[in-house]
Formats: sequence, C-alpha cells, structure tokens
Amino acid sequence: MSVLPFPSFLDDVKEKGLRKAVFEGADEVVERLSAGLNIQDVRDALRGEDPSRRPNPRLQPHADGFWLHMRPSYYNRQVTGLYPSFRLGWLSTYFVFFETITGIILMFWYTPSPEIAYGNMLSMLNNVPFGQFTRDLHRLGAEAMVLIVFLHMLRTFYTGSYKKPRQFTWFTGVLLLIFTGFLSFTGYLLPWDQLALWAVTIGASMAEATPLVGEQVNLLVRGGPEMGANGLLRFYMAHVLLLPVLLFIFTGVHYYKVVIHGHSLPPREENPGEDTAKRVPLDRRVYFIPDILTSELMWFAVTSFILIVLCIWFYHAPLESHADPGVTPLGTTAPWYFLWIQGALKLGDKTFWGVIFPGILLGFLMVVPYIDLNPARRFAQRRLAFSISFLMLTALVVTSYMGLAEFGVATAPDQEILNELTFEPAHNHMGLLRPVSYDQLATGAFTTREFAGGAEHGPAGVVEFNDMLQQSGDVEHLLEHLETQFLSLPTLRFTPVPANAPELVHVLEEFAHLLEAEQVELLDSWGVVIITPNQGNLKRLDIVINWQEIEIVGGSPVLDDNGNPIPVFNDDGTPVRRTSSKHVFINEQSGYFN
Amino acid sequence: MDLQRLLIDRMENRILVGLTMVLASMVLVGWVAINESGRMASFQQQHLARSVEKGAELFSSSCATCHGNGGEGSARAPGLNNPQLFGHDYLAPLDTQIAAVETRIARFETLTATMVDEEARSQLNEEEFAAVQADLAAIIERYGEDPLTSLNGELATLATNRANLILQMQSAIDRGYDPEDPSRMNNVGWGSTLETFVLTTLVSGRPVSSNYWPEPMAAWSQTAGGPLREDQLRDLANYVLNWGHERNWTLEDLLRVQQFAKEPVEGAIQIVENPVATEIIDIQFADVSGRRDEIDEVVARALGEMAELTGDPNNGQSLYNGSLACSACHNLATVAPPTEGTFTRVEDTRLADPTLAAYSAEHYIVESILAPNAYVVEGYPANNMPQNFGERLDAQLLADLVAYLSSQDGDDPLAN
Repeated sequence: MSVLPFPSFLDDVKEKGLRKAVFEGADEVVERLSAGLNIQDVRDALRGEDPSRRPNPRLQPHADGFWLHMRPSYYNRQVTGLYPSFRLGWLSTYFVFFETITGIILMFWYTPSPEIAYGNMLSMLNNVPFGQFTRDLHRLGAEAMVLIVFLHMLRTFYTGSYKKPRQFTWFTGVLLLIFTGFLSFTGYLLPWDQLALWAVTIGASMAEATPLVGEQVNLLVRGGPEMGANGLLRFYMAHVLLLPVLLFIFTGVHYYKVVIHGHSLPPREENPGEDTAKRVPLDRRVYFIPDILTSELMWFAVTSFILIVLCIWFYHAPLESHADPGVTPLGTTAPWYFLWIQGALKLGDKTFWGVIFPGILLGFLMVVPYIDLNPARRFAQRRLAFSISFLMLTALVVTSYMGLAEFGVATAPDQEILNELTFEPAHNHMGLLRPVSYDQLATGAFTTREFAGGAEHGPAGVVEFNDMLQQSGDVEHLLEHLETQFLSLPTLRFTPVPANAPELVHVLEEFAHLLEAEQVELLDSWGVVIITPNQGNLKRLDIVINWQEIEIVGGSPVLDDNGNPIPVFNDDGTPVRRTSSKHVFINEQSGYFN
Repeated sequence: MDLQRLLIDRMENRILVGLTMVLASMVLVGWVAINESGRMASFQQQHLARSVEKGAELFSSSCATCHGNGGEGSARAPGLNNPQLFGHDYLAPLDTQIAAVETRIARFETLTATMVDEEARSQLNEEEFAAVQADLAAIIERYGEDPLTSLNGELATLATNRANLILQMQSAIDRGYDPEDPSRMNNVGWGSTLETFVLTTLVSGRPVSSNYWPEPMAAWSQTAGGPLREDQLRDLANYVLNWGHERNWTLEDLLRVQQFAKEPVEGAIQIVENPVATEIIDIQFADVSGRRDEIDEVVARALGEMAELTGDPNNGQSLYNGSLACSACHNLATVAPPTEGTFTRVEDTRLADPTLAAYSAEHYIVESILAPNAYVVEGYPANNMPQNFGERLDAQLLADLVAYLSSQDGDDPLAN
C-alpha cells in the first residue's frame, strides 16, 4: 500500500528507512546520469582504482535499446578497416539520410507546378539564405549516391560477398541501386529547366518502347502525351513519397540481412564455402561502443566536411533556362547514369535495346547469386565470373560513351559551329562568344577572313573580303538574310577587329579554325560576326556562316576521284551558296565573363 | 598495413579529427552565411540581365513589327523606348526654377506691403520687424535696387526657355505628346508600378477601338489564350523596362519616338456630319453580287459629290497615317497592298482586269474605300479591310484621301 495514491520515494523511506532510501536514490540518479557508474564507481575512478568486477551496467542500454540494438555489439577486426568495405555501404547509408534531410529542407521552397517550379528555383537562388547551398548539397549528394551505390555493388561482387548465405542481401541491394537511379532521375525533372525537361523527356521516352503496353506506360508516367503539369506532379510524388518509402523499407531489409549474416570477411580469411562472419574470436572483437561509434562519427564529420567544401568552391547545381517544349537544345542527353541505355538505343530496335536489354541486364544482376553457385570467394578461383563482369563493365563504358551527343548523331556542321559559339551556359560550359568582356564586344562587322590562314591574313583579308562581297552581290544577300532575322542594317562594311579587343580576336580566330576544320562540307566558307547596339547595356551579336553547297548523299559528302567535294551549281553556272546564322543578345550585367 | 585498421587507430585521434571537421564545417557554413546576401544580390542582377537578353529575342521576333525595332513605335503601336512611358518630365527643372522665382516675387511683395502698411507693421515686435528688414535687404542685395523688375525679367527668361523647349518638342507634340502631362502612368491613372503596367498589358492585351488603333494589342499570355509563358512575359517586361535603365533622357530620345500613346477621348472618333455612303457599309463578300447595283449607284453618287470639291493631299495623308490608320496595314505587302505606288498599280494592273474595263482610277479607288469587298485583289483575303469608311468620311475627306492616293504615282513595288 503506497503512502501516496501512486508509488513514490516515501514508499522507499517507509520500507528501508530514510538514510538507506536517500543513499540508494542518489546512487540510482548518478548511475542513470553516467550511464552505468554508481557513486562507488565514480569514487573508485577518482582514486585511480581498478574498475569494479560487477557486470558492466553500461552494456544494459545497449543490450535492450532499439537504436543501439540495430547495430551489432562488436565487429570482426578484419572488416573494420578500409578494406574490404571501403566504407561504401556506410557511405550509401549516409547519403540516404543526407538526401532525406536536404530534400526535406528543399521541399519548403518548392511547388511542383510548371507555372512556378522554375520561379521557385530562382527565388531559392536569389531570396532564400542557404538556398543555393542546400540545393547544391542535395544535387551533389544525389549524383554521388548513384556512384557510391554502384561502387558498393562492384565491391560486393569482387569480394564475393553475395554468395551463400547473403544471396537475398544482394538481391535487395540491386533493388536499392535501381531505386537510387530512379530517385535521382525523378529529381532531375523538378527544377523544370531545359536540362531537366529534355533529359527526362529522353529518359521517359524509353518507357514508350515497352512492348504491348508502351503507350499506357508512357501516359501513366507523364500523365499525358507530353511532359506537363501532370508529369511534373507524378515525378514529384515519386521523388518525395513512393521511391523514398521503397528505399527506406529496402534499406531496412538490406541492413537487417547484413546484421543477421554479419559482415563478410575478406576472401583470404576463409576457406571456400566457409562463413565465419558470426563467429568472432574474442581477440578480434572491436566493440561498437566506443570504437565503431567514434569511428563513424568521425567519418560522418569528414564526409560532411568534404561535401561542404565541394559545394562552396567546386560544385554548383546546374540551372538552365526555363523549360520550353518547343526548343530542343543541341546535344541533349539523358542523365549520365542512364547514358548506357541511350547509347544502347543507338544500336537499333527501341524496344529491344531500350527496355528488354536493360531489363535482362538488371534481372541478371538480381539473380547472380542464385546462378553463380561457385562457393569460392578468392579472385583466382572465380575467373569466369570476373571475366563476365569485366565484359559487362566494358560494355557499360562503351554504351555510355555511345550515349553521348557527339556519338552517332549527325548535325549539320554549320549548326555545330553556330552552337559552339553561342550556346547558353549548361554543365558549366558556354558558347565561345558569351564570356567575351562586354567592353570588348566592339560595335561593327568582323570576318573570319581576317584570321584565315594564307595570303589573306590580317587587315588585307578584310579589304579583300569587302571587295569580294561587293562584287558578288553577296552583301545584298547578307543584308536580306539579316532582315529575316529582324535585324535591319542600311549597309555593311567589314573592319578589322580593334586592337583593344583581344578576346574578340580570339573568338574570331577560333571561329576561323572551326570553319577550316569543316572545309570539306563547308566549302570556301566565311563567317562573320556583326555586333550592333540594342539598348544602353545590351548588344546584339549576329553570327553568320556562308559556304558553297556541295553534293551530299546520306549525310556525308560525295568526293570526286581526287578526294575533293563536288560543288553544286545553279542553272546559270554560278555556285550555290548557303547561309545560316544565329544571334544572341548580351547584357553588360549577365556575368558570363567573370 | 595500417589502412587495415580504422584508419585512425587511437580513439582520441578519431575524436580530435571528428571535432576538427565539425568545427571546420561550422566555420565554412558561417562563411557561407556571411556571403549569402551578396551572393543572392549578384544572382538577382545576373538573372535580370539574362532575362533582358531573352526578352530582347522575343521582342525582336514578336513585338518589333508594331512597336519598332528600337522601340520607337509605328502607326500600329506606340513607342516603348519612350520618355513618356517612363514618365520623364522635360519641363520639370524649368518649372522648379519658375516656381522658385514666383515664390520669391510673392515674398518680396508681402514684405514691401508689410513695410508700407502701418497697421501691419505695428503688429510686429522688434525681432519680427528686424527679420522682415533683413529679408528685404537680402533680396535687394541679390537683385539690386529694383528686385521686382529683375525677378520679373528672370521669370520672363525662364518662360521663354520653357516655350522654346516646348517648341523643340513640336514634332513630338504633333505625334500626340503632351509636354504638360508627360507621364503615361498619370494619363491612365495607373496606381501601381510601371512593371505591373507593362506586365498586365502583355498578359491581357489591350482591346481597343479600331477608331484610334488599327488593331488591338493581342493578349500574349497563355492564361489569356496567347502564345507566351509567364516567364517569357517577365523577360519581355524586363526588356522593355531596360530602356529606362540608368537613362538620362534627352530631347533626341523624345524626337526619335515615332508614335505616342493615344488617349481614347472624344474626338478621336471621327464623327462627320454628312457621311458619304452609309447605305453600303458592312457588305460581306458573299453579298456583293446581290447588291452590285446599289454599290454602283452609291459610288457614282459619291463621285458626283466629289467632282465639285478639291482634295487636299496633305490632309489625306494625315488621315491615311493617322485617325483612319490605313497605313497600319498598307505598309508591307503582306497584309494589304503597300501604299507606295498605289496609283500606278491601279492604272497599270487593276484596270487591266476586264471586269474593271469601264472604271477610271478614281472610281476604282473610291469603290475600294467605300465597299472594299466589291473587288478583292487576288492573294489577299476578303472581308479583311474595315467596311465602315462610308459612315466615317464625308465627300471632302474622301476627296482628300483620293488626292493623297493619286499622288502615289511612283514605281509600283509589286510590279515586276
């Protein structure tokens, strides 16, 4: 019977007497605060005596607490070093939490709607303290996570850690790799800029190739025939809800299996078919508390520090112009981790290379441990498995290379050159003309003939060019062409580039080189840059390429017996000349040049 | 190999490294925090600049046809590179000076009146009286013994300068500029910023009466059924506003403007007392053959009335380019035949058509104005030209117009 209506200290006093109750109570408080040391222990420690021999009460919370019980009590000394794990599994887990936290912060500033998503990006960059920083961290973390998870898989493969009894661990690992790829991919779309829209359009168009239900899959993913408001919302929901839920569930399963089976030892430590991970000899035990825990806290601090340094000085998440379904940027590719599928698509049938081939590949990866029944884990005894893996890696590298825009996509050389000179900042690169300092963009008309090799070199080349244009009447054509580009000029007179504009000289030199490099397809070509003022702090740059048309069959020029291209002539015997052009506006404050 | 260990074997060292990294990270994050406002400002500026670039592209392809390449405006739309839009007041500095001199004159008159008026003087205590005397002395010291004359002289000079300045703006005034009320924002009573004015105009367009603009400003935003996205409208608005960026407006800037905003005031709509042909307005192309006789009859009557009058080609020209806004469409050959060489074209090309065998050039022109669908030139759409000139013109105005068109007898740019 309690003294009060509930159990209290008074009951202790009643039972044990005041003195004893107070002492025991104090002892309990000290033991709770110090996680196991009672007053006697503290006294002993202060006196420098040996610890008491009673069972260590500090292990108590470890033995029945959930958070600490998630981790093994001790590890084998053989697996706590850099090898064999390279900390890749730990890093993958780190990134799961890192991405979750940075992602949740970003969610406060983001609305998944095509009307405001891009505006959200801008306000994150110009109005949210740490907005850019958080975005950089999240984006860098996402790209790093794909890489780390992939490397983790490679490591597991090469140390044979997927073998019995860890087959299912491997299987969930491959699922996690796929989820990671899709998480990264769905996040790609959310900024709703050109980079996002087109990378994802390419990626999502692969879904269309699914046999039988391709159209339905495509509609389901995009929420309509084209990527729009519904598509963005679906990608968002997948990115913040569906995929994270799957990722967390399977991370749990994966890690549970890791703990259940123990960390596999380096192959050299065990005989084939042997699994001693759970039998750790006393002299090889490294306890979670304090060794592993302090080590992990240190790694946590080091990794975070590296990411912070990278995001301050070396990496900024890209943001291109607002998504525009009507304008396809030249050289669009899928995100780098899907380049291999894009490359494979160039091999032929869309359904086979875009869906069946990757499907088979990933399916094969998942069942590897059930196919590869060779119990040996040492390198020398796994020649076939290693050979196959090297073949697959090589194929991955080659198809990824083939996925690049440079490979197998024929673009007219004049368009390539115009793009080379003017393209908008993307992936930290931009057209050659953009970074020229504003004050060096001298108003006037300049020609590559000033910088072409041979006798025409220098100002004499400009004089000759002016004469040539006047005589052939091409100057009229040029003016008419500019008129169609909404630029009306009364006359055109080319001048040498002013001496105080070395950066512009450099660009024109590059321009001349680019034309020379394409002199087969762009026969007898010239290029001009015309700079006109538009507003007080805004200039317009027109870049025009003019060349003589040659016979082209199937995308490549027809050559005569001497290896020269064959020019095309009009009915009256004059050569057919082609013009193509592009223009950009450059504002003084655009900051391309710092 | 030591890598085999936890990399750092001793726990103290691990703790030390970890703590150092945490502290270093905190320092770095703090450093980011310190630089955040500067970074955000520079991003803002850079983004605005790039937005202006995109706006320039849109403007040159979509807006320049009406608003002019350099934003100087045309008969179809007002100039935007325009001190009126930005509310620059050329007279303001002079007006300030004039106001200052007028205040001084009033002050001097009050002071002298006080000195003369015994009763007023008696109400002042010594200090106040001394102050009045000091004020007077100061004015006399500055403007001589007869301040009123020299102040009035100064006022006269300023007024002359002001009048001269207005005179220099005359050609702009002829095109609709009002130097006394120079702010577009004030004119329309816009309560918000210029930016929102430009933006809302872009979003929803301007439904206007064809009596003062030949065609309405289209609604450009996708919200209002137009072609452009919200961000593109912002780019465009930023481009337009960039004309006012750190701008010191000069008189040349004003005179370069080809067209000013028009006010939808009474009088802009031409109401004539004796319209020449109200019977045949709004005849659709399909109805022409049925009402052929009526058209011929009314056109013949109009020609009869005009025969007694002399057309003034100058007035015809100002009607053509101004209130009737013919030139809005009759400029490039794309929408309607160009003005240039109209008379030559009628004589050489149109009258060569056998269906017009009995026509004189004047007859053809009058019929084309009063009943545009009576004869539709191949290559141009029917029902396109306004069909209400019959009620907007009297015989004299019609004669003026015909006189102006008859003066277009140079080479026909379409003939070759």
